[in-house]
Amino acid sequence: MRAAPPSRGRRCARSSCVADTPRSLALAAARAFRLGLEAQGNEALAAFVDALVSSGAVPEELGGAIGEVVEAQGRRDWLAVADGLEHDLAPRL
Amino acid sequence: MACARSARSASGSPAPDRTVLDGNARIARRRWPALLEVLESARGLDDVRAIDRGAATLSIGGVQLTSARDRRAEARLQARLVRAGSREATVYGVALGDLPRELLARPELERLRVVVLNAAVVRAAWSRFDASDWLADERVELVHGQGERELGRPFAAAPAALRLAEDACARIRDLVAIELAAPYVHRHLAAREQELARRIEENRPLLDVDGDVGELFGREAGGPVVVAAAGPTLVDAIPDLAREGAPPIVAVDASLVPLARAGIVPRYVVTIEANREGLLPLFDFDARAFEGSTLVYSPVVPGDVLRAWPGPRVAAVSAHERFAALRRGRERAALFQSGSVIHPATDFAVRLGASDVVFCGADFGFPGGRTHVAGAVYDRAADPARGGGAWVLDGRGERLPSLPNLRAYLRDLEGHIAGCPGTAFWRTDARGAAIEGAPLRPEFLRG
Repeated sequence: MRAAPPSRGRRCARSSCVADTPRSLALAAARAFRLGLEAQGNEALAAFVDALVSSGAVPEELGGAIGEVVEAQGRRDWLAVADGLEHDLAPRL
Repeated sequence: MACARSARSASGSPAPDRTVLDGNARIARRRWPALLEVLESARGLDDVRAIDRGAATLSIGGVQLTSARDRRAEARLQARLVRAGSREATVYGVALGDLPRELLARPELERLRVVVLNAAVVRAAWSRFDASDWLADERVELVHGQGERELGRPFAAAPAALRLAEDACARIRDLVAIELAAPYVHRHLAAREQELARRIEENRPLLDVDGDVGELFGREAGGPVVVAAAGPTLVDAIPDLAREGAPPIVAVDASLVPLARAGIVPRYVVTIEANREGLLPLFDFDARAFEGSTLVYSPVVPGDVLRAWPGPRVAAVSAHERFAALRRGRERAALFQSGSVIHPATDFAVRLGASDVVFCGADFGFPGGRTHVAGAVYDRAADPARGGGAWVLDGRGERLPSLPNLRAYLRDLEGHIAGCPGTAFWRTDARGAAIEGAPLRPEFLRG
């Protein structure tokens, strides 16, 4: 699977890979929010959270970034959510 | 023609800069003087903050106008919504101008319509960020969203501009949001098609003997017909609906229990609900008085609900392909459907031949903080968080909390009303959503 570069919103080569990893889900959610696809973005965000939790203990260093994404989601500041997912979380997953 | 991009367009000014604003305004004054007057008269915004985490942007009311990390990559992604090779395109929302710039870099683009969704936001952006490069591009037409009646295609949108749209741009904002959400909605609806096809087959014995809605067309020709929806404001229409001589009522299923409790028997009842658990409570009342009421139903409605109806039944398909086999087997009239029972109920009222269609309880939001009319099965306190901040304008011009799907239903209803020029539409309560094409006329039912 060709991973999407962290600074781009390019989709994976295989359609199935979007749902495979926390990283790909974070990028998919970011992409959706940047396109104004709120429902799709929140669906992918929920899947990302589930995948992150399912993958085991969440690394402590992600705590701050996750907190910022949660805060931005509470404000419905979708581009801040996208920034957090794409630039702060995805590169560390 | 590639657009030159000044440093000021990228880095911006942390504080309002008169020089930057004047430069942008000079071009706008020359090209769009009336629009500039609107921008200059817009109320100033209180909560505007400069943010830069790699890319300078603004946060307005806690909402970032663009990415604060990589604006150009974001604009490139958004521009992909406009197919390469397009000669014309529309951009909804100005933000910081990155999206217009990205599209204007395409030499084949001949015309770009940029729609302002919030004059105050644009003024705040123009006070800090140089927009002269794309404003001066002769291919650009800058307009205010208030005057936009139809969606321009192809289009791309600045998401934050949709989020921050001013009241006057609510309608075009909703049309853009509906279009952006369409693939997601269709994907989820497609997952149910097998189940719905099974339901239609299960109902075949009923469908073979029941009438078709087309047989009722013209029955109420020349007079008014009330469409009773289940919004909170229906309660205040009930006394007028209960009086002698009130117009015939086409009631949506969710309004049945409160109407029945008030002793009101609608002449027609419309139901399209396929979910059995959700539908059964709506018909849980003593329906003996409804022996003369005709049930207009979609073939996907559970058969046991249909069989329990005491009065006549007629089936009503829609243009959806799931009903294609039914339409082949027998001549069937199709009612307009677009997600809410209010749509076929309204179309049915028009096809009955009504001179006037009067909406009662068609609120598309939560007046008084309630979800439905008092006494309705699903009436409860509205949860402000659930709607994600969605709102529509009510009849007083104030924001009415709503849900994204209710907004979509409202816009689709307005589109349908616009296509029925031979019928007058009215609504009776200013606390519900303003419905374009259905002016407020509270006294209509009082004779």
